[in-house]
Amino acid sequence: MNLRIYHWLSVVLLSFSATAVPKVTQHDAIPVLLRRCVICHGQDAREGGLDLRTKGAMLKGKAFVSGKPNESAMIKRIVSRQCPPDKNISMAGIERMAPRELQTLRDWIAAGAPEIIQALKPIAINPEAREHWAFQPPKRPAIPQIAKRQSQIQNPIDAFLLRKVVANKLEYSPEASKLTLLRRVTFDLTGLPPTPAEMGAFEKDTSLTAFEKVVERLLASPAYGVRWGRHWLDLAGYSDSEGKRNADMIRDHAWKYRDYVINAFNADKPYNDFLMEQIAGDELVDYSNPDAIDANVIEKLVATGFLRMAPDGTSANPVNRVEDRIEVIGDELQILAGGVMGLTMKCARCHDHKYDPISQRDYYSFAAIFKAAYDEYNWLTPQPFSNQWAGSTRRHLEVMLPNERKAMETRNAKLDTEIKQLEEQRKAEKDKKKKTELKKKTDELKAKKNEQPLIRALWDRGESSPTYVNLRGNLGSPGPLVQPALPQVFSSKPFQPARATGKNKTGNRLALARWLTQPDHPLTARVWVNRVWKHHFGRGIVSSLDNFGKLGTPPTHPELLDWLAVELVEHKWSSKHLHRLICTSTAYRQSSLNPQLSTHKPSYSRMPMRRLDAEELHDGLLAITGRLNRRLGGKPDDVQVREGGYVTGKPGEGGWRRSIYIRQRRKHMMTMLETFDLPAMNPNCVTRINSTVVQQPLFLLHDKVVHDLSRKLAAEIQKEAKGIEPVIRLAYRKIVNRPPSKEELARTIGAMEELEREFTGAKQTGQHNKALAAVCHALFNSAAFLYID
Amino acid sequence: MKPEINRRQFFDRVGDGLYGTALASLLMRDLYGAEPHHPAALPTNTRPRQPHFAPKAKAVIQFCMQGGPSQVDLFDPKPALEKFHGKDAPEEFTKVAPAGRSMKGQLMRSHWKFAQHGQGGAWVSELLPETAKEMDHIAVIRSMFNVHENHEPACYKWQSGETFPGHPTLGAWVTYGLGSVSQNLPAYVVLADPKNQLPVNGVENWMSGYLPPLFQGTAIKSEGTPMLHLKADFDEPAGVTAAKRNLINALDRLHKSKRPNQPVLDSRIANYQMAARMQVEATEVLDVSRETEATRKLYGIGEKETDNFGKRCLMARRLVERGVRFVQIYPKGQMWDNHANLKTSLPAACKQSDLPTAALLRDLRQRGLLDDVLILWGGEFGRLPMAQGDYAKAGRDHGPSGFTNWMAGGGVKGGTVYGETDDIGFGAVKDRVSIQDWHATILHQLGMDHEKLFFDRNGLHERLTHTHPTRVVKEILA
Repeated sequence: MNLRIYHWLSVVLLSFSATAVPKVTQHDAIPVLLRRCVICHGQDAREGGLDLRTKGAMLKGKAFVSGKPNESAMIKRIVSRQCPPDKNISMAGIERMAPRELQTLRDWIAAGAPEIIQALKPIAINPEAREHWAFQPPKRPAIPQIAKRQSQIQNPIDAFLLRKVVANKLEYSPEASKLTLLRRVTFDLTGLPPTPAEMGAFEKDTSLTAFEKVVERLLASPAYGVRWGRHWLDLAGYSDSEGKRNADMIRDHAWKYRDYVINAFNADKPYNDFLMEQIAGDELVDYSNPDAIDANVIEKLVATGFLRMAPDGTSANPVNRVEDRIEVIGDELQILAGGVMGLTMKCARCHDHKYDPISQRDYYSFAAIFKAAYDEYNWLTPQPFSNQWAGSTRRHLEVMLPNERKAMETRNAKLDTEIKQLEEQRKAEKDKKKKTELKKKTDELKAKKNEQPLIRALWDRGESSPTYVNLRGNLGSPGPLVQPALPQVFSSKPFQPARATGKNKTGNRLALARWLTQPDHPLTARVWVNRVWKHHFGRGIVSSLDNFGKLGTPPTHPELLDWLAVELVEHKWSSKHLHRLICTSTAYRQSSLNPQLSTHKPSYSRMPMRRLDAEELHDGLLAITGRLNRRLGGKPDDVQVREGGYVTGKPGEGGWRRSIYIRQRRKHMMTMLETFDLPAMNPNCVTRINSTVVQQPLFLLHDKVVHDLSRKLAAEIQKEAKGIEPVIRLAYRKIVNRPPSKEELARTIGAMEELEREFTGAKQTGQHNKALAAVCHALFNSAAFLYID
Repeated sequence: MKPEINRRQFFDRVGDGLYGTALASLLMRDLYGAEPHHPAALPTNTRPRQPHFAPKAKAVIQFCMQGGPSQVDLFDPKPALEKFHGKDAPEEFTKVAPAGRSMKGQLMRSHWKFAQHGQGGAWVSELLPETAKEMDHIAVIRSMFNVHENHEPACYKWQSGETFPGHPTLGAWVTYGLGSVSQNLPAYVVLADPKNQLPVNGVENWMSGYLPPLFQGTAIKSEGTPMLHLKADFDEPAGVTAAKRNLINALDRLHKSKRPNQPVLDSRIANYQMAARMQVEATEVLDVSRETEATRKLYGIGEKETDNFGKRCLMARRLVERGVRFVQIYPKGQMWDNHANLKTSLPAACKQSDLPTAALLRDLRQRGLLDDVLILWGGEFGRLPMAQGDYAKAGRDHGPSGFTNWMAGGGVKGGTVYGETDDIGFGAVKDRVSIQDWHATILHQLGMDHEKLFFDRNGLHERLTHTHPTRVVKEILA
């Protein structure tokens, strides 16, 4: 008995007295039809002109005869197995109606298809739960006055941190050396090492604001957007492939979203706008008139790619079932809730959250906000596939700039003529070989014609299927019908859609985005400043980055968190403003070397040491050896899978680019990046793992690319310096961004001489170069290179 | 008394080579180290650690019989198929199928004779004569079922408990839970056919999902260079390699001396040393020519049909002996996926694997190791009792609703036959065993409670058995 489990508690039935409640109502019948039938008889596909989503529409389409199930067209078709048609069962990812479901329909029709109006009682929220710190708007706290340490207070960050440092009877560590600081901040802000020229300029600049100038230079560099865009893309789960399936299909147009994110960081797009565009960009612009499309429209539509990043196997059957679609929606909601709101909502899919005041009804009401764009019963498939249902539609918008469109039309007209000519030629051609050649040429042209600048977007379609709570997360157990709403802990007011730009849009996601970006939203700014903080100091003020709920870690410095959150909002939501404050604080400039402090008890009385992450290692190796092509944006370069499962990038035009521009697949990740903890996006990555495993030395010692790069670097160094000590000094400067210590120099000179002897002994020529290459290779393997002080 | 050592000392000792020596058989020793089992999430290293309770098995060898071995032709004889041969399956049998699955094709009897073997009288087909002799050590589960009828989702489910990628596989959970004794070899080793493509789902069959990559299976090739980057991809005089390593070591020690409270720098140095030892040990462990002629013969090495599979079985024994925690053995391609020509393709698959599989059981037993090693055999699903295609060349299609797996060693009650499928062998009907029941039973034998082994993922306690209702199949345990 799957019916009526819920309503005695939460539903008031208005049109019947409690004793006269019909056994089966439209809320039992419609969910069955949604699951089994509306794929062909619903919002978009309406076979036989029939819409089975409401009783009214059913009657209009003469789907049933009230009181007479056996005479109802609907039942007859199901029983005779005319519906669903056999071929659609496998193609459209639908399943035959189970006997129990058919019985529900029969019972409903037999009872005269009773309808009830269901009104949900408001969810009672425990007032104590509402008082949780993260549900209160942040207020700007007073800045602590710290006696006798004025010189250490660069900005209020230091005041908040020092108060606790001093209370713990600790002190800040002394400032790190200039070159250490330069290496740290350059990697942190751009993901690249400083160049020898930048090192020289900073060393020479003795002004008081020398470091501030460096921070400004780095924030203005396009490499900043690449680095910080990557952090956001981790959160969004950016990937150039669909995942879920063995084939891991390429996701062709996702890179535009990647470029949107990188550009947004470089332009310091206010965080509130950044969020608004990603959640509801389609509702901010009118893209209905092809002649009125401009760069702004394109940008806003591309931004919605944020909610199209989750792994999604629904292109192909048999993983395009309703359950599979619900997984995709569930992943997207969790990416948004966790990454942006710091809430774990996923558990509320099956039951009320056990610790936070998020009920199951909240979850489904929240999902209903997205329904006009993400509707499991009116699904847009990611891309075409061989065994797809003819009725399926794609989630790409053919929106382009008028000049692009014209250029494409002209190009296509030309291609059409050429194709036509070739086809005629082929018809006339007798020679089989030539015929095949002509066919090949025609296919190439046709493929070119298909190359359209599409946008993988999320867009509102004006209406949606109803949303029922799935009791215990089970699709077959529909609970109450819900309407779009925010989680009740934040607002018990009825949800008001916003006024969207353009026709036929619900404005639901826009309303959500507006609410999220209110200046006094309790979570939005806090969650973002915490994430920025984490990427500078190695851990968040709240260390559970995506859980600010009861089970999350309490903030180590709650007042600092609030101060930063308010500061962000009041400085036009500028992320670069945060970087400036953080990087120029005394805390950030501290040395990491204090031997008195254990790493087990982190405190802000020294900087943490950290390993280069996967991208810093890859991009750094290329930058240092002069092989990095700094071209930004555009289609990703391909990856290639070599023997033994070794995956490398395939450099495109202009050579190797930064790793974000190499195709990000969920399955075939570059071996180097994967070895150094690049995560597979399933669905996204909240925090990178930083492992120390034996595959890492094996890779750096034995990989041919690393070895070859070392040789190339050695050749460069030989051009710039002469003599064993000068070349070693230069190698240190380039690779570890500092001069060698006395001991290091002595050891390295000794090793270089030994290496030369070994090469000579092995009767190899060019031993000097080769020995230097081996030294560079060793330095690329050293802790001094792989770790940032 | 177990020695108390902390992380620092451990790595220092690794550096000294105390734990670096290749021991004759690490498996004979206490495999669990001194570290207590954590009530919280476990550390991300592969040092050995205590399970939740006293374990029966210390290592696992999983025969990944991917493709779907046909239960009604191997372990689950169905006399009723004689009666219904050539007819449609009566609907009463197919109703356990997932909703909407159409069951096409007429029923087809098995081409092979069955006989009862061992004390428990387990039925085994004539296609597996060697396995049949081992039935006293084997517990057969004839009531397994999976939730999907396609290879990919079914394999994800079978390996990781969910029908899509992203979740850690059984082997990853086991190495996360227990660590590994060998610090010179990967904790979780995969032996795939070197001559053929990887099985369906490829590397995702041994993925670590959201667990750190440290717990991912390492594919070792049984021919050529065993592991990616185990050896240099370029030529270099040996003296140069040595001098370079010495320089790295010296520089790292200087670096560390200025940063005494950074344990990660110690483990880094230890890792470089482990890398060097692994080069030697991984090469040695896979060198089956070090075994006696008699042992190689036992596994059918040198024989045309069994050489390929036999080598991997023997390597698996050498690996667990050296303290590797989890080994997966894959057969040649999709050899069990007999959609056509069942009459020839199934005997061929059996011929390749039957002797080496039985040999591994015998060899481990002779060495007194079978009690410590849990052997798993089976695929992601079985096959339908219906014929697929024209009868003359018929095969059988995928059958997820009821199929057979077996376990041996590691505290399993040999001679057991557990569970039943219906009269035609279509669906499991009695004592049904789900994939998560199977997972929980394996963890149980290793001393772990499937409800307590978790990974903290963004505040959620993720488990191998997720939130599916799960039970340990105690009936097959000694």
